[in-house]
Parts: sequence; C-alpha cells; structure tokens
Amino acid sequence: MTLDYPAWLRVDHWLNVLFLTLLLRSGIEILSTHPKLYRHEDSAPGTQWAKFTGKVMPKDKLYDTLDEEEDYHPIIALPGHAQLGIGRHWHFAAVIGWILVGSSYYILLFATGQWHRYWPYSWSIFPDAWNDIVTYLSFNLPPLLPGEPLDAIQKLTYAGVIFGLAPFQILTGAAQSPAIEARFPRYVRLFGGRQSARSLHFLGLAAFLVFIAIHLSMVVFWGWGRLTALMIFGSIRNTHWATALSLLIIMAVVTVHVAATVWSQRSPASVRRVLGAVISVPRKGLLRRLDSRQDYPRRALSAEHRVNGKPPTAENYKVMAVHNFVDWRLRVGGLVEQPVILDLAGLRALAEPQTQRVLHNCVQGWTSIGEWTGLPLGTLVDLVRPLPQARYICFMSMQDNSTDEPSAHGGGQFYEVLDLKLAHKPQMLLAYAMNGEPLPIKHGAPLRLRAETQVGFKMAKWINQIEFVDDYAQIGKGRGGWREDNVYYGMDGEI
Amino acid sequence: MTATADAQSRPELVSLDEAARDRVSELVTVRGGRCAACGGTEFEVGQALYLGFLFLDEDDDAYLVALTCREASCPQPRTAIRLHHKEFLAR
Repeated sequence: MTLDYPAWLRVDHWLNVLFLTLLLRSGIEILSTHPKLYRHEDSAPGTQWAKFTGKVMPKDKLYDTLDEEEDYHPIIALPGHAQLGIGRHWHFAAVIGWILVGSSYYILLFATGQWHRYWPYSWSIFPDAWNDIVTYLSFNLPPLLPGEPLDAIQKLTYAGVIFGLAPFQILTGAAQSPAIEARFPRYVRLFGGRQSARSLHFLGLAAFLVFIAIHLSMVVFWGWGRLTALMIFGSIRNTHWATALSLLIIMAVVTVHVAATVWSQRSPASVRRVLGAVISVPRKGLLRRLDSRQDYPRRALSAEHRVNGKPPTAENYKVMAVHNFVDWRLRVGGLVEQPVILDLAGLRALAEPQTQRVLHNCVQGWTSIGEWTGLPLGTLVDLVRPLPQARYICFMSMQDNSTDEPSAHGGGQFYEVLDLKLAHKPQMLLAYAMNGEPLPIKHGAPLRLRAETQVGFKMAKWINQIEFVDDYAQIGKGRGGWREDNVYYGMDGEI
Repeated sequence: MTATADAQSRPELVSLDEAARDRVSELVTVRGGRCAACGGTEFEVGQALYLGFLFLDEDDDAYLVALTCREASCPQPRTAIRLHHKEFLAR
C-alpha cells in the first residue's frame, strides 16, 4: 500500500482549511454574545470558569444577558461587531460543508486504504513520538516512520485530530441544540451537561487553534515548498510553483473570509436568506420532528434562573402588575373560528395546569433549569379552532424594545411567530407560573410561551395577544419574529 | 400548580402594614389624587411593587402602590401612585 497524496485527499485538505477557518471565526462570534463558560447548567453569575469580557454588571438594577454581550473585531470573529444571528448562520452553514468534506474524506480514506497512514500498528509509536517531540524541541527534524509519509508524533496527532477532535466538535456542538437536548437529555449528560458540552466545544476550538499553529510551524520546518508540493501536486516537484500556488490558495481562502465579512456587514438580510435556505434543510428535516422529553428533578432547579429581555416600562403594564394582573386580557384571534378574550382566571380555568421541569436554552449559550406551569398551547388552539388557511401563530408581547431594551439591536414591539404544526407537540406551554409561584415579572408575567425544542428567543414573554395567520411576511419586517427581523436569527429555533 | 399557588400574590408585591397604608392615603389626599375614570377621591390602598430594580426607567427607590377607587360605579377602579421608599416605608 502506497501512502501517497491522491487528488481527493489534496482537495479535501484545502476545503477543510476553508470550512474550518469559517467555523473558527463564526464560533468566536457566537462566543462573544455570552463570553463566559460554566460547568453547571444554571450558568449562575459569578460561577464561570472562564470569561472573555471585562464588563461588570450592576447589582442594584435588573440586567440581562444582552447587556453582557461583547463586540469582537471582524479579524477574529465572523462577521464581528456583535452580530450573533449572522455568526450563527455562517457557523451552521460551514459545519454542513465541513461534515460533507469530512464524510467524503472518511469514505475515501477507508475505500482506498489510505487510513493506514493514521493507524498506529505498534505500541512503540508512543516512545517514538516522545523522541520526536524532544527532537523538535532541539530544533532538529525526526525521522519519518519507515515507508510512511509522517513521523510518529505527526501520525498520532493527525489521527487524534481526524478521528478524535473533529467528531468530538460535531458531537459537542450537536449537544447544544435545544431540540437534541430536549429529546435526548441523557446524550447531553454524557458530556457532563449542556454547559460542560459548551465548555468542551470551546476547548476543542482552542485545540484546533493550537493544532493549526503547530501544523503551520511543521510545514515551515520541513520545507514549505516541499510539503505544499505534496499537498498540491501529490509529489515533491516544482517546489517554487508549489509555494506560489499555496500562497494563492491561502489568498483565496482569505478572500472568501473578507467577502463573507463584507457581505455580512453590508447585507445581513441576504446572508440570512441564502445561508438560511441551506441550514433549513437539516433543521427541518432532522430536528423539527424531535419532541421534548425533559423531566429534570426538583433538586436540579436553578436557584436563580437567568433572564433575557427587560420588562415593559409602559405605565399601564406597571399598574396591571401592582394589581396582580387583574385587568390583563389575552386576545386570541386572526384566522380562527372562535376568537376569545381571556383574563388570567379564565385562562387558568381552561384546563388542568401542566407542569414541566426543563432546561432553558438561550440562543446566546447560557442555560438555566426552571419549573413552568400553565396551559398546553394545543388546548388553546383547539378552543379557538384555526381556519384551514392558518399556518402560523404570532405571539405579541407588551415589551417595546424602543424603550425597554437599550441593549437590543433595534426597536419596536416584540413578537415571535411559531409554526402552527408545533402547537400540539409535547411541552408546548403558555406558562403563567414558575417554580410554584405566579410567573415573575422579569420572566414574562403574566404569560409567556414555553417551546422546549426551541432556543429561548422564540418563547415570547409578557404576551397579551395571539394571532393565527397564513403568512408572516406582512408582520414586522416579515422574517418571522422581532429577533429574526433585527438580529437576523433563523425563524426556526431547533439549533 | 396548586390552588394555593393560584391564590398567591405575585412574588414581587410587598404587603403594607396599616401605618404605611395610612401614609399612602395621606399622600394621595395631599397630592389631590382623583380617580381618572370617575373623579372619585376615596381609594383603598393595596400592595406595593418595587420598581427600582425591575424597570430601567425608574429611580432606584421608586415604588408603585396599588389604589382601588371606592366608587362602586367606577368603570376603571384600579390605579396606582408612584412613591419613594422614604415617603411611606421608612420608619
């Protein structure tokens, strides 16, 4: 078996460079939105084991995690400048490309026998690898393994990255999807929980950065022209041309990054539309069907459940609140046979309360565990009987981001649209209580949505109106929600 | 959620003792408080909501105190008065 550099391996190598660098920069963008890492699911303030922000939060005023968001430069983050929605689109689109490239690499590696280049046939490779490290540290080059293209430490490192680190990143990334977490909570616990998975995912990112730095150093030490010739022509020849072409390829990758950044900064709506079309295939095809099966024990409840979004500052809201929301009314209408107006007592009387103890997955990456009690959304849908043309449910909030959320990227009344098909899924809830008490004001009193397979922003708070519609193009900016309109999140919240 | 929890007041509301309620009533009178819906001047004082922490547009020591118009025919009896801590809670 000749362990050489076939064309497919060379093509996959350079495609991997493109997708991996896109993943790293967009991953840093996602980190910037909540630049703290935790061990425990409650993400309690002050309990982070690492933080990448110098912001100090107030103790005498309610702050939310939007206030904690950082603004990283586009040199390290894609697209940079606190654009989480677009960063997520790049990350998820790039991971689809990366998985496709990785899958083709695995298939061809095993189909052609090239996997032998990574397989350690003898325990002696470990002392050999140690000797190689010592040799490198003394600024010398170790010998290659007999009949192989790599030395011992290179062989072990590549095997670790290809068969260990890369799948590990995909698995820990998947563990952060609220739909997967809701359906397979035990899978997430394999990593020590959702926050441990996020922390491990970050450490994987750091490991890739270290690997890239050492890999590039190795290429320089062994001869840039010789090694790039192997990765461009498949053999050591025309090393000057190889050097020039390798720099050209790297420039092409950099150009893609610059173009992606500029496109994202200038036209985020079109980035969202184009990449969103790619992402929606696995999102709807694989994740939409998952049902929440969460039932955390009472002892797991977070002592302090984090929040995002600030309560409405409108005077009528405050007056309603001080009177325990006696004057609050929920208007349910639109494309329904029987529109209704309900007060809190009427809403409670519609059905036996349903309670669920679940993990809240914020789009920013933090989590908390809460117990929510309320009316199953499906019960309300059955009551009002949507007309055949109704396809979506629009939840309107009393929160106005023009006045209520200075850290928000835009203004106007908050709303979120949910696919009507989700209404009867398990643990879809209109919650009016939390942890055995009336729903607190900061968590959306008197009524909020709980949609446990979705990221947190879909769960509108401070709800006072629900409309059934056939299309959401005419609502707000027509993207399916306030955050979709203003922060360019995807309309479906399974990841 | 239990029936007991149903009946609970919400966690942010503060119950006032008689002295505090009297002070609130006096302040309503001093400020010429009238019901916006019916013009009534008699109010029942209810619970208070600490605004300073929850609402970004409020002073740090601001409270909202529930007032209910005693006029039986009032179409919109529930209103409130905004007070500072020292005005009705300080001893």
